[in-house]
Amino acid sequence: MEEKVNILIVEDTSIHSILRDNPGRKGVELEARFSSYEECLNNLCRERFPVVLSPGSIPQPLNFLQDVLRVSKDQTAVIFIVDGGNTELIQQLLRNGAWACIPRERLTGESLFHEVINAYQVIKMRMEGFSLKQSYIRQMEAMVESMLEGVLMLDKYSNVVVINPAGKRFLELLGATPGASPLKIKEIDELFDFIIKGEECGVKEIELEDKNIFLRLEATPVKEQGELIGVVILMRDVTTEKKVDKMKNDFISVVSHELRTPLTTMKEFISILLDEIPGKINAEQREYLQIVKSNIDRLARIINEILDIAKIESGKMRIERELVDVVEIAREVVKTFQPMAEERGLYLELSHPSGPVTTYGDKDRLAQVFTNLIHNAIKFTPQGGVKVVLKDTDEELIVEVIDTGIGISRENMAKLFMKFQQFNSDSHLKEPGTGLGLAVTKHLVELHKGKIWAESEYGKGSRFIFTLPKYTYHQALLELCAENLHNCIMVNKSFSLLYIEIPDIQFLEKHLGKDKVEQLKKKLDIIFRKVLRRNEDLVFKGKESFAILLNMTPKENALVVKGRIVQALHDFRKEFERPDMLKIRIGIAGYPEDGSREEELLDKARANAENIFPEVG
Amino acid sequence: MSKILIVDDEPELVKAIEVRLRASGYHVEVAYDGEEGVKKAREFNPDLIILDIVMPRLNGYEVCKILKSNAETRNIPILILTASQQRELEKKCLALGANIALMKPFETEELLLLVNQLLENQGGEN
Repeated sequence: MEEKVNILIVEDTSIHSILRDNPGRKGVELEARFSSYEECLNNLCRERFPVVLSPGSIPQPLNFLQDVLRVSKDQTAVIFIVDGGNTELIQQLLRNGAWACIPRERLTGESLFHEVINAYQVIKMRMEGFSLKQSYIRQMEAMVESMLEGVLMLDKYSNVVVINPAGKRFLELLGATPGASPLKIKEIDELFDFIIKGEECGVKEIELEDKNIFLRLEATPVKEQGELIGVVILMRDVTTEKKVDKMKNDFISVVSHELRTPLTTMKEFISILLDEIPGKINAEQREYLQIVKSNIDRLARIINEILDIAKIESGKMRIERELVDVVEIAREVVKTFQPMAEERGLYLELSHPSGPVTTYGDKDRLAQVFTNLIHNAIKFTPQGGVKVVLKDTDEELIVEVIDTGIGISRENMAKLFMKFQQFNSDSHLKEPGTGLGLAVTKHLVELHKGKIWAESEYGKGSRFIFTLPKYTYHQALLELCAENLHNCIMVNKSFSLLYIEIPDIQFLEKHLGKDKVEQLKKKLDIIFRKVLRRNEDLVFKGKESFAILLNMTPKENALVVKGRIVQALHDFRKEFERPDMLKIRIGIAGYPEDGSREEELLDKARANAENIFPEVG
Repeated sequence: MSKILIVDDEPELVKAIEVRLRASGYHVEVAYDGEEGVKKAREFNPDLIILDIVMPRLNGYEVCKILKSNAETRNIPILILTASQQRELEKKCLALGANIALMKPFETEELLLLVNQLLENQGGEN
């Protein structure tokens, strides 16, 4: 039986002649009617047309579209024949419910016929109770279907709403049985939970060792008008990225080692010649050897900075967190630059609050920050000098490095902290830099959760300012736990925490003296490090406690480590001058058993701490 | 005259340090891998060992472990030389009782200063 499809063609009869020029399809016949633009709505009121064809060039196409959809109660598909160049109009029409916009230059009888039949069938379904799928949605669907990334959307009740073919493949790789809930896969279950609990983003990397594949899952909340309606999980094969990453890291460590050693040899022999150990050299020879030496030093600096940048960019840069006195660090760096400043006739001053200014940070890296800023300031200051000012507010520490140098022009200011930027082309600088120093400096400050910026007036000098948050032991420990825990969760590994406390430290200090207690803590630190056998384990020393972070370690293995520590502490106690006074408590917590947040773990480890000695009972 | 043992798998670097230390009046012995280093440490009984970390046949950390667990060699001060950024391995050596670590490339003055200090703390010449 032939099925008749009524279509209404507005204004343009040429559309009809194109439409007639098609191979057609068995069982379907198009019945076309024509109408002027003005008459169109009246026609639609009188008779049903599932499909309307109109040129995009009618006076107000958008209003026309809205009128047609209103009059037909969304039961009509409107197809526009448009000029392809008018992308703005096309987008507006599509967004407002046009079925399709076909560019006139691509119009063929076949394509138009196809579009009309498609539209008719959907409208028919819609009349039978199905929802109208607008072309926009169809395109979104087609896009998701054809993506290489797996897409999985779950509603907030964990029902699968969307899954594309790639998604199905990845779920199979992860061992899901078709039809079963994806939450059967542990990692997906955890990600779903994580987002439902209110997190904005969750990431997991899974290594399928038998298949030699690395998958990366990224979960984000799906929100409608600010309300969580589900979770979308994007699945990607990152095997190649991982391989490249590993190669890069291997390369970096090899380069580091292989370049440094020959440099050391060269430097040593040059200085042996300069010190005239094998025999006298003349002034000219000395000058040339000096040049070689300073270039070796420069090369060494470049290697260090390239390695730093590579580490930072691959996320491998870790900073230590130990109690540091920033005044002390600044003083030492200033001291090393004093001869250089004097040689150039510059002043180099340090002003700081009286007494130590402490926070938890990486002593060497902070010294590197001071070194880079002060060295730069001296380099770019032909006369006058450099002042380093330390200020201590309640929440943070502010350091300013102020020079009276050549300053930084406005256009260079924006590029200041980027890699490989050097602004000294016109100057008389004795030592060219690497162009990496400030980029490294910025990252180092940011790893400490501080900020850095610069102010300058061209020709009058510059002022570099950086801040460091003032951490308490507790804050620093939380920060450290958060970093390590996050890394473990990301690769689906466990994490354990040991908390070791010396409860009556004031009592000990009173009876043995502060020095003895400091020695005691140093000894304990060494004992813990000896017990730990792996590089990834960390010991964090506080005023009256230690935390030991065991990365990738399940709680049951951590209990074994705890046993070894207790044993070592018992041995230590026998040698301690006043064993009767020594009290030590130890507590343990592990992810995932005791929670997935650093606070939970720390609280738990503190709460279950028990006496090692004096022994209970 | 103080006796110093250099353990490093780079013969030319060893030579450079050797020339420098000889010129400063020390008696120097050398070893080119970890195993030889342990052997020489026992035979030669040096007052100080300069030890590289990355080496074939026993790395610096393993050498440290052996020397520090042996009563005869336990008290010899150790100066670690590191080339790669292996802060953790370096720290473990220090935890085992190595005295100090020096990053390659180092300043000659710094090396000499440290050597001098370590020997003085050790109780001088024998």
